Amino acid sequence: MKPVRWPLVARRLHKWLALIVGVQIAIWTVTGFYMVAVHIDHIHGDHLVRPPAPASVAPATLAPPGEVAAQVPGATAVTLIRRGDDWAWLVEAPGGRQVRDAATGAPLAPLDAAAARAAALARYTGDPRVVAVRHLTATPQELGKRPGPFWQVEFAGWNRPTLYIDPLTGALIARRHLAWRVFDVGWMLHIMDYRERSDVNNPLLRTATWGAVLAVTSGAWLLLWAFPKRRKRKPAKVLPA
Amino acid sequence: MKRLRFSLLFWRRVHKWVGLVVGLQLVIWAVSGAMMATLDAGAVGGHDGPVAHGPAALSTAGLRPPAAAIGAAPVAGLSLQRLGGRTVYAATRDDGTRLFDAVSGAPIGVDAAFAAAIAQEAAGAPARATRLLDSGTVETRPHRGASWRVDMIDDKGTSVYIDPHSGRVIAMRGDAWRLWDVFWMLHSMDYARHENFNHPLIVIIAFATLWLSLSGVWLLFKSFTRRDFGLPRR
Repeated sequence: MKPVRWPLVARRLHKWLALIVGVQIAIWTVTGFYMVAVHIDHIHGDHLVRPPAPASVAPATLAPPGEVAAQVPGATAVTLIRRGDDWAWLVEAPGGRQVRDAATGAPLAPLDAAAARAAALARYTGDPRVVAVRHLTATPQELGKRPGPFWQVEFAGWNRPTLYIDPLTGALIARRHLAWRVFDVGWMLHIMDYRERSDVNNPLLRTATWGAVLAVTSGAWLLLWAFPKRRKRKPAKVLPA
Repeated sequence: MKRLRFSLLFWRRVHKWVGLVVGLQLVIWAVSGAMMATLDAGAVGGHDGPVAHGPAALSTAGLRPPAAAIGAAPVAGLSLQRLGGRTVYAATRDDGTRLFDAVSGAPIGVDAAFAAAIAQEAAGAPARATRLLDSGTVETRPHRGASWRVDMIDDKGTSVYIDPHSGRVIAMRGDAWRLWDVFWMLHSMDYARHENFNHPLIVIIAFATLWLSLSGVWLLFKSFTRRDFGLPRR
């Protein structure tokens, strides 16, 4: 029987595995490099917004939250929120959320476009030129699975900075800009879920990652023969004169 | 001096020397990535916050108005909620969030028993052991302050972390998460805190790895002959 030539086996294995998963490995390293090189706080757009202005209110001026809750069937929590320059009660209940005036307990309507624009401007740190204020009922790709509706406030700028405002509470839901959007595409390519961009257990990813394990391990194995030992040179014969 | 030539030999050398230097980390990235793809994300759970159990409805009868419970001083935040079987006010002032019983008006310190009650509500399992941690751990991240750790009796090894001032559930971690977190640590190369994946070490190694993978793709075009695919020679 012919002896097995291990270097050849390792080389063939590495070459053929790399043919199958090599391009995806390159995609992982490129998207991975983007994700580690651009700081996640920048991706999240922390620099795009300032914290809300501090404010406080005397408890005696508030409608008792127990009485507010009693008006909403099945209410589970009542939380004081700052909506624009006003205080309000946010009531959570199985039938949905409600916002009520903090002093009177009267129901409040969702914010209109002007109020949403003001809420976004109050938090935005960049160039305050608003390009568009849109009311969205369907969830756009860049908000994932969060249910609507939303106010989408887009600002001027090459990176299309966009703030999303909750119409009911006036709260800042999300901030998006080019670096975030590039990250999101990179993340999609990294986890190979091209539809939802969220399933990290999809069969394609599982197959490709274990294929990559084999491909890179075979490469490591190949290193054993990649650096041949230098033969010791025989001392040069001294020729007789 | 010899001119640098971007020949086949050059890219082979790049591939093997970079492979020698960062190959081990690439193997670790591949294995940890494959493991995270394999471990069920639903069992691992979210990175922060409890799994939402439908909270119980508030009982609104016999509650004190806020001022008669939390005092007259202005608040920056206030909520009425169910927590650990009680109806409470959570009032936020300059010194943080404090709890008050909404029926009696008495301030509530989050002691071991109350922390266990909150944890049982959140996890839907009885508590086994409760202890106070002085500072954050990898399991409480990104929370850095003190917390109650409440270990539950279930088959998932669940621990619930409770903020000792506000009673908030900081995190719920189980054995599935702990196993996942080992691979996340290896993947993010943050061996101390497991949370920062933007540190210089990983940026440098990831940059070197780009050379490894891109030279590898280039070599793919050079490493196959027509014979490899059973085609006749041209």
